[in-house]
Amino acid sequence: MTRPHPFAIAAAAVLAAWLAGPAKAQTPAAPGATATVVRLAPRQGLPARTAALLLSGQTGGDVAISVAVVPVVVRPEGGRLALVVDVDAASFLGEPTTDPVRLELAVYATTPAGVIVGSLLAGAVLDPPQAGEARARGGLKLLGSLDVPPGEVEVRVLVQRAGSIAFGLAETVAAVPAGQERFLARPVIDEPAGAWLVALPEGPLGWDALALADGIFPATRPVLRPGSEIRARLVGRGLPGPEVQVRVRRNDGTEAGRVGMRRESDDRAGGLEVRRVVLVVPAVAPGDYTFEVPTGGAGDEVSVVAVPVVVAADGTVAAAWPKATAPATSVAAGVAEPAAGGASEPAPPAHLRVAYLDALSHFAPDDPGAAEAELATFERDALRERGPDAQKRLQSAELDVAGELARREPAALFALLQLHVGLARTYGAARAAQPQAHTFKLCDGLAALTVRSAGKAGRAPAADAMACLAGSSQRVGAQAAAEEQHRITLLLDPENTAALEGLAAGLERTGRYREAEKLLTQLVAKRPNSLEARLRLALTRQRMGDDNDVEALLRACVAPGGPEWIRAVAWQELARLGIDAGKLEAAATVLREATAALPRDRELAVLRAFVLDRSGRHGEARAAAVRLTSRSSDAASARFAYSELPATELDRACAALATRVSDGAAAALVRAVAAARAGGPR
Amino acid sequence: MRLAVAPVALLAWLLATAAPAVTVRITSPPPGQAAYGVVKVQADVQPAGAISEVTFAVDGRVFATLQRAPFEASTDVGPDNVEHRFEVVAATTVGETGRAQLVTPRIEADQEVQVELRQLFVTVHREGKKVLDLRPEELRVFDDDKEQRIVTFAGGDTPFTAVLLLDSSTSMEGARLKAAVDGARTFAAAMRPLDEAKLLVFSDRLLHTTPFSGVGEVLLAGLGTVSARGGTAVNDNLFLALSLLDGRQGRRLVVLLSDGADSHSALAMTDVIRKARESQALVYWIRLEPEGKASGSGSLVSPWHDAAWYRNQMSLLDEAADTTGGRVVVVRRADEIAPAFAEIVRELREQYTIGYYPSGSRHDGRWRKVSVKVSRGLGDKLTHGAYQVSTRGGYVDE
Repeated sequence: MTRPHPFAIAAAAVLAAWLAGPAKAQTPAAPGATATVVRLAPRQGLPARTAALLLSGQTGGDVAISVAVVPVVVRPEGGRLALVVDVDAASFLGEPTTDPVRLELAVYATTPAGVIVGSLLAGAVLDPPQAGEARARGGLKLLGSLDVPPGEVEVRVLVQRAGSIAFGLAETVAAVPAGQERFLARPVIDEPAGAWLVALPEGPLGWDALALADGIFPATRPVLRPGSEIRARLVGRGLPGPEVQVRVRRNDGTEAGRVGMRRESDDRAGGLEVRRVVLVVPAVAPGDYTFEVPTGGAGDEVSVVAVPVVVAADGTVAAAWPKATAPATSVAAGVAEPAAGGASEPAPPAHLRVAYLDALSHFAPDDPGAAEAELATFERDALRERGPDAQKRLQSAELDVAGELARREPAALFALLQLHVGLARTYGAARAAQPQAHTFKLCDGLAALTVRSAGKAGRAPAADAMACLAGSSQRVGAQAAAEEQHRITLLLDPENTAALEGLAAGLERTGRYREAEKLLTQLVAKRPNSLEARLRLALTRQRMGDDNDVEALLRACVAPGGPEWIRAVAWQELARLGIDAGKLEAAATVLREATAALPRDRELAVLRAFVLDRSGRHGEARAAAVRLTSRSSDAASARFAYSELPATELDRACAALATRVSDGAAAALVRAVAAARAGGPR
Repeated sequence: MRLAVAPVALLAWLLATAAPAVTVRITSPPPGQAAYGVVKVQADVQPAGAISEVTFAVDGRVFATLQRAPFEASTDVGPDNVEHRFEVVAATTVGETGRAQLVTPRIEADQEVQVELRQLFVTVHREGKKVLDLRPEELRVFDDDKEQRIVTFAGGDTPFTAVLLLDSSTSMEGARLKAAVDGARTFAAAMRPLDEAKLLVFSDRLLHTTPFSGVGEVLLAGLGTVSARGGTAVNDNLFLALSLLDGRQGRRLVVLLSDGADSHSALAMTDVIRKARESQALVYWIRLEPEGKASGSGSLVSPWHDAAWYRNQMSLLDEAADTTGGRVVVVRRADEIAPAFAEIVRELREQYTIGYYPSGSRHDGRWRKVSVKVSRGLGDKLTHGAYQVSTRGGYVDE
């Protein structure tokens, strides 16, 4: 029995999670044909949505992508991974447009424990001719590098079309050996020039062991013609002998044949052995296969490294990319990736960094209000600065400082988040639209930074902060911002009850009952004792025309002991079930019980008067109307209370964030700010 | 002695048979005619110049006191088929009195049939102007397409009972609420003796209420302290207003000032429409449009209802006004509110009140269509199209 080498790239383990790669035939390039190259520029700052998607554990999306990662430099302290991402043009570009198309690439490398040890953020702009060319060629090839420490890492790649909700997620595993042990990386099969629109960073890639030549680029999923001779590269240490047999397996695991792989040349680069090899593609039926290259061992203990390939009879491009599968949560679909600005972000202005730190120096764990006032003054002044990018410069400075503080004291970010969430609330109450909009973006960046710094452990606190922010947004009427913030919260933490409750309330208000019902069902499952969740679920189902469990849900809400407004609304709706069904007697019975339980509820009394009137008891109905209109009251009605935004879970999220802050994060912020101002090493 | 007694006796006889200083004669209703609903009582009082006051009473209840001619006043005697005793007493400036009485009979019938007098409040226009001089014989009433005999008729100033519903939800904050209060003042100032009204200021709760009263000060007391807050429960309060008016006689109406966007009622508008159709009250809706927006634009949503529901709500509220014989008055600016109230009162003063007993009534809960036509001069085929008649479209035959 064969099994993968422990340090081999366990590509086979994640192949099932890949989207099918582009089918590009390894046909000889036309003489002089070279791939068009666009620039892949580095980006600073990671939106929370991107961070949440990268760590969501999901793959798929609307955009089909495939990924290959190969170590190209190995040193005792770590190594460099070559990253190749192939992007299907049709699913990425969508409908043709005359506007430039912006591509955003985000990559995280995380340890098995979920700690982020490497990242890459970059973007490219395709003008219309370039987009057309990508479409004609069928795809884009993105090349980059990732520096990681020794050991195994999970590499997660996100490609997004800026200004839309289209994205693709894929993951793979890579390893940089810590010592001098033998290993073999995923074999690299090259693709001919001219097959792609290629995006490269400015400057050298640093792929020492995988030098690029004559426009030949590694393929993530090669297309091979049966009987054709192909060239490949093996990278590793202690490479197998000059002649090895490569096993060809079908998708079902059965063997389709074996081919000989012949050494052409050997070299060394980046601390690695590099061998160029040649092999002939076997005469198998067209389809998906895996080439398994042995790395060592014998008999049943042979280790292999696998690479997926497509065998196409005529060598032409195979069927279009398979339909991308959307991730499990549809929440992501609702949040668009903000369109990035120009090719590069402005450098954080030094004077703003200094001023921000000065404002933060007023922070005291027992008096966060003092810092908030200083911060508000600082931000307002910064936003009044001349120049078109005042908001971007401010955000850049604040995030840069936050990054520095996080490096000194990771917990400081929680306190910083709480501070700015509080500031968002203050701006909202004062109707200061521009500072509020800035704070929304800043909190988004801080949440992403929290995730970046703390990895998976940072998701829950970042989620609580975003939920708290969303609640503030909702309360000041910034519904669109609140909805986006709730969705980001759910990307970070799909079971965050504050976001489930808050987003459902927002959707209810805008008639999107189906989605609200799904969220409320989750909330009821997570919080079975929440009467408010049950009530809202019952009413939302009613509005959808779905009677499933409505009466049972309402009955659960009328029991004594619950909040009076919830009981009242539930009783009213139970009565309405009878009225709407034409069962006046049943409605009257409900109302007798209800008015006995809640004699002061006006709406129950109105319903009772109505039922009396409809039942022909006009005198009693009139008498009830006289009673109901003889006295005024300032008490808000139960139905009005229902229309207010729910706060139970939101308060819980804000309290959780506050607890983290009081549990040491505040002190961490004080220390980090002091150290940063003192100018110590970052 | 015999000669002394004779002149005294003659004087006594003369005194006993001398014509009174004041003569009163009831000229309407005519003797022998049964009286139902609103009845106009007219009296001829001589000598008119020496009269200090003339009192009108029915069944022992004084309903009008006048100081100068014409001596006529209206009262609602109710729908019951009973005798009524009308009395008019005139007093002179020197304390002399004269009186007249008239007893109207009840209709004798072989079978006692409970039929409620239906009252219609009719406005007639021709070429854009109100027609105020129609006589009863120039109006024709059709109930389920069968022509009906008009039993009572009054033109002009028939007393009314009104419920004023003022929306004081958060959206009414500021100038709008002030204008609404001014509108209520305008209405109260235009009320006449025998008119009554009740004021309900509502949001999702009842913020202010008054008893039914014909006294302006009672209606307006405390109104200055009301502030706009809360949601909107139009349907519930409209239902309650219609229910209150069920127990009243005569011309009844609800004047609702609101943008109509109900967000917190327990009752649906379909529930209220049914009540409106059954009621004999008119519903007038002073519809507040948001300033700057086209009429009917509906982008309202709430946790309770979606945009489609709100559009339907507005449409049904329109229908409620229309089906009762009232109407919708659209206002876009706060300064248009008080004039809208004044317009409604003016319209009320220019309505005809017609009463009839529906023939073929079955009390089967069915909707019976009602229409009124004008037949003047050349016959209704030629004149009807020239007149626009507004009245309720029908009623539920309960």
